[in-house]
Amino acid sequence: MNAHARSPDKVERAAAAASLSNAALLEVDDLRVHLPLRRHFPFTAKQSIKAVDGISLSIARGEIVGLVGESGSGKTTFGRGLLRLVAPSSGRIRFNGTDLTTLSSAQMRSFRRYMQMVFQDPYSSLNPRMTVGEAVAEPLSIHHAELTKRARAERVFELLSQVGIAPEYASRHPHAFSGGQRQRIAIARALATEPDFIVADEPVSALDVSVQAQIVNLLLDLRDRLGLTILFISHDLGVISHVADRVVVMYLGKVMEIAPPALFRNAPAHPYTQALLSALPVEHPKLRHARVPLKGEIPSAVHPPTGCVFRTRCPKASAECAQLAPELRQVAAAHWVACIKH
Amino acid sequence: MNQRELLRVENLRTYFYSQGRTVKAVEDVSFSVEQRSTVCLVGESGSGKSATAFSILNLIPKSLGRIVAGKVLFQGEDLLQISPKRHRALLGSDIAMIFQEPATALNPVYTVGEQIAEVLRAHRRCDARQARRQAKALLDRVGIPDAERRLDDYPHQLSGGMRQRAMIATAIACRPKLLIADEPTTALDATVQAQILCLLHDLQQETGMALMFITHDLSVVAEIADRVLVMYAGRVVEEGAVGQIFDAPRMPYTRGLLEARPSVHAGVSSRRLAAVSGNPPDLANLPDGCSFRPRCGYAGNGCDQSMPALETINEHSVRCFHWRQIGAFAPVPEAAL
Repeated sequence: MNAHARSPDKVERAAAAASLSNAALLEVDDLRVHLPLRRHFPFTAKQSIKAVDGISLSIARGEIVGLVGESGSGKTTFGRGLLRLVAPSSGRIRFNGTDLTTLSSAQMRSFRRYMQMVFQDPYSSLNPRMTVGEAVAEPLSIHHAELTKRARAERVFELLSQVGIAPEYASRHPHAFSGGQRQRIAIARALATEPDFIVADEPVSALDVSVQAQIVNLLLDLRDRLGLTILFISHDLGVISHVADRVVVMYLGKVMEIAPPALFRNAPAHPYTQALLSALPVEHPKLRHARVPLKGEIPSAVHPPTGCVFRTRCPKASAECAQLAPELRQVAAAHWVACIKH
Repeated sequence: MNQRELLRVENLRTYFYSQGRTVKAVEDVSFSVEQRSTVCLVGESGSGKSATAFSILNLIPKSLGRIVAGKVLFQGEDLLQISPKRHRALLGSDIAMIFQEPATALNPVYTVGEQIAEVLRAHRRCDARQARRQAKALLDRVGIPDAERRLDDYPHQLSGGMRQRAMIATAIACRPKLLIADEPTTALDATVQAQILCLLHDLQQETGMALMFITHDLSVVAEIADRVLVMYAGRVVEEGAVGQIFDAPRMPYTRGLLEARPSVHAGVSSRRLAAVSGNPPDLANLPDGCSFRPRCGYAGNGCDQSMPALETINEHSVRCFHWRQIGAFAPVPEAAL
């Protein structure tokens, strides 16, 4: 797309990323994030929300992993936990060989230049008092303080044109832009420190359908050009199955299934994945059919069900599902399922 | 007049005024809703779909804007001309509405039971005990478990899906003939959305009410609509039966929306999505000619000169000079149907 925005340094990085494509950039081992609840009365038992409850996942360099689940499944907390924006309760996060959980907060802060986040709502993620240029320059002044003013301005121009915003607009404020343009600016800001890894938390959910497609395509382009690794969090199975190289289905803090998008669409193995897919509205009126929607809603993560967390809504559940939490088992190449019935 | 016609909107115009600018939110909108049918209004944010709904109910806040012209005929009666007393009697009984955010539409300081009972007592002669009994039956009907206890819950004690069910219960309390639903499932998870759509469908079968459903999601339209109105920048740009819209969309914008949808279908080869270029227009500063022209791949002669008129052939209307040249289109692969 914008050939002029390409610096030689980045081309090298993309090439290096391609050659290393099988190496894991990020390895998560048994991550737990339990968020303590405030006690309303003294002496009552301490309670916590088990937002992320034992997730292991490895993400290869240059890969786009799609994380899908209902609200309350813990997908956002998992994404924030990876960047240590919430403190993990236990587990390991190895990023490029470094264990993030052992870093001091100062070390972690400087480490964040390699891992950035794009948020759902571009209306609240950009400071309304900063011009767009200032917003994109801010991470540069923190992580690349050595840059001269001029070099920084040039870099801001380059970043904006990379995401399809005319650099002349750098002096405008966010209110002058539409939702899609703001999300582009938020992406430019995340790219400012040349991160290897980006957590995109529902980046298109607040956007109109026609614009949503533009942002999805932009992220795909950026991955190809910069060799970015992306954790793409979404509740939208359609978007996820387009964007992701691998889909991770989460429910109540646990992984239910990991599959490549084609398998995920055509042969979902976990009853929860099947339920999510069958809940989707049809794409054409001729495909209408009577359906039996999944009963009930996601239970509280303070007292998750014993055994398999999905069993309370699962059409296939039996007594033994209450006994034992199913392990994530490999059932085929690149296909993992946590269900004893499979 | 068509015997089955329940609502007819004629040349409706609603303008909002802010900071010296005039925003033409609804511009010359006409359509009708038949009894027992489902009409979907579809469009992006700012297309005027919610403003149309609020205008039909004559609920545009005076401080924000005005209905400048048009008629809203409900069973022959113009809702924009009737007395406030008659208006109060109709709203909540014959015509009801549900909203996107039940958290803000329900009153946080009254229990769910009180809010349903209030509707019943305002429109039906019944005492508090009868009202409570009926409220419980309604909560049962909309699928809220343990209804007796939930009657005394405040809205914040319910989940999003349960709140939407409670709001549906208040809306159907007096068996409306027309239910206007403004993006009622947008804030919900897909699994809960499926439950709510199922519930609305069942209620429609049971009571025979007509449904005017506002959404930005074409898949929801495919699931429930009989007729579809596509809106862009305050105007209806295409209207037709649901099959016509999905099999042979005439307006480039409708086609763009259909193509931009991510699909979970087998056989999707491209990972890139077909985006509609550009951004939705500024309603206070619309381009000359057709509002969609700056984003349209088919724009050509005359598109910048004047707004195309709505042209109707076979009960399928389109607002485009060039629709005949657009050609065939298959939004979903033949094999999938």
